[in-house]
Amino acid sequence: MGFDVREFARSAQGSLRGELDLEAFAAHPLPPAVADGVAVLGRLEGATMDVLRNMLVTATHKDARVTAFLVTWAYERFWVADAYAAIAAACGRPVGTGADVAGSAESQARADAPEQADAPELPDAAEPAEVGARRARGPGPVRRAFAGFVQGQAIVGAHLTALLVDDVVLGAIAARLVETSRAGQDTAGRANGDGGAGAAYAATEALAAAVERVERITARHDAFLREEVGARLRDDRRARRLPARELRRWPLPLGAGAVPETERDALLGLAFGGDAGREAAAAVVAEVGAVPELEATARVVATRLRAATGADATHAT
Amino acid sequence: MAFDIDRYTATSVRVEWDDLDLDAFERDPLPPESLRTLRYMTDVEYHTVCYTRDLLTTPSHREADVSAFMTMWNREEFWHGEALAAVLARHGVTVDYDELRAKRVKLGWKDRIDPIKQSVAGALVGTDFVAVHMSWGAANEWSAITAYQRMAELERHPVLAELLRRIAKQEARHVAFYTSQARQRLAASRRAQQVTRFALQRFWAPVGSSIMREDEVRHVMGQLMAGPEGRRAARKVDDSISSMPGLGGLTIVQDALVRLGVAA
Ligand SMILES: [Fe+2]
Ligand SMILES: [Fe+2]
Repeated sequence: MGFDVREFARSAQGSLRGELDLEAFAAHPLPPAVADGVAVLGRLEGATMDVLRNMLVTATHKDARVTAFLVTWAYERFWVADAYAAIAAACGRPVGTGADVAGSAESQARADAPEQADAPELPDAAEPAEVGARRARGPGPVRRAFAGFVQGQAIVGAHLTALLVDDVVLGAIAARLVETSRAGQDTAGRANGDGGAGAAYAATEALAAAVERVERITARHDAFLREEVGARLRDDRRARRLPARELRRWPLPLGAGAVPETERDALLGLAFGGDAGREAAAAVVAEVGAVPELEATARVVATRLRAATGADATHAT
Repeated sequence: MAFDIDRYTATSVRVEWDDLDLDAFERDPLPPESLRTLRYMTDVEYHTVCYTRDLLTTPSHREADVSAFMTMWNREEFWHGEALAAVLARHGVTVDYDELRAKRVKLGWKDRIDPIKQSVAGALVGTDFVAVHMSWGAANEWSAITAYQRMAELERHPVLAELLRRIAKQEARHVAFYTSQARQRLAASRRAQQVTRFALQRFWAPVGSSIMREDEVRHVMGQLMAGPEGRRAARKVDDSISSMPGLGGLTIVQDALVRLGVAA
């Protein structure tokens, strides 16, 4: 395979703080909705241990090349999350501790209790509320361990697909935050005649620069994920059916369990609601659908984004 | 003293060996029994991420500090594996990802059932299980330091000694995290003390026991922990473990050596 995991691990990107223009945010904070969105995005980027927990109980942990990738992937995402947290804090909208957002340790432990080995196929829409609630956290390790036992090695391709979709969705959210900030500050600029417009633009451009920097980091993750997904799904008919099915059960974005529902919904509404948002959602769906063997997965992504924003994305698609 | 997680994450680096003269191993190679032990250590280090999976199925993953630590810890341990693999490579022993995969696939049923078992155990005892996890981690990290120190003492190979010193220095930071977490949670709860005491006494085994064949475990423990020097080192680890709240009198490492039939 082409992607050099060892070289990726060796050249992992650590803290980005030195590259951030935090003073620009302090001088003129981003619009509050954008700053809050950046804070939530940071939490979603940083929820890697939740994701690993769900993935590593299955056959995925047996693949040493994949786990070697995941170790570095988690490390880089930690520092991406840190960068977004720093930006939100510089805007005076620090990230909450959020330690117990998804419920106490006890309720988590309950969620991990053994249940039926495999879930029935869910319809794309009109699902019962408790399915949505369970999905916010992911199926839980015990359930995943049983499911993984049944599915064996084929599950690895589905997991890597989920990571790829997550990257595409988070990247689109970041880009929409920049767009929204730009639009807001254009309006503010016009209203003020000029006023702090220069400083406002500086903050937006500082955010744009940070997002671009993050894109360069995630580009390597995507390179690995696309290569692996392609190879694993191409040769295995059984594996090909799994990603779309699995994705219905996972939270979207994958780290959503680490964020209060209202904050997650606000961010998804900002990113994928409205005309511009629907266009962004359609672009996400198109990007996923363009990956060989992921057409069905792209349809699930479309449904999920539509459900998350309460909007109908089909017309835009 | 409290563990400063921000400082730890900011200073977490991969262990460096580019500046070490690994050619020394070609002039002055390590004996086969040491290579066998190093191979074991390499596998255990590479395997850390799998072990995380077990830990992550407990409620402990919910806390931000723990997540931050786990992220860095995983990566540091991965690089310990890479560093030791580089030494093995100088002896013509290649450790490849594909080979590791074969080993993990062979783990079979027991490996599949372990996370389920652990998670259910976690559910039964709730948050007190975090104390078990943290104490267990502390015991493992103390053992790792001791193993590397013993290896360096036995071999007296300057390049190996320096590499193992660097690795052990990182293990010491892992100890600091696990002990600060464990102490705090043990001190806060009698039940946590009881559960931890029970779990360590009943289930603890030398790091790697769950993934390596027993003759490999016996070889490593025999090489590193046999004789009066080895036993003294084991006692030191036990003393550290038993100094934590409610764990007084535990001798889990020495007990394990007796079970394995390692000569005192
Ligand atoms: Fe280590
Ligand atoms: Fe360690």
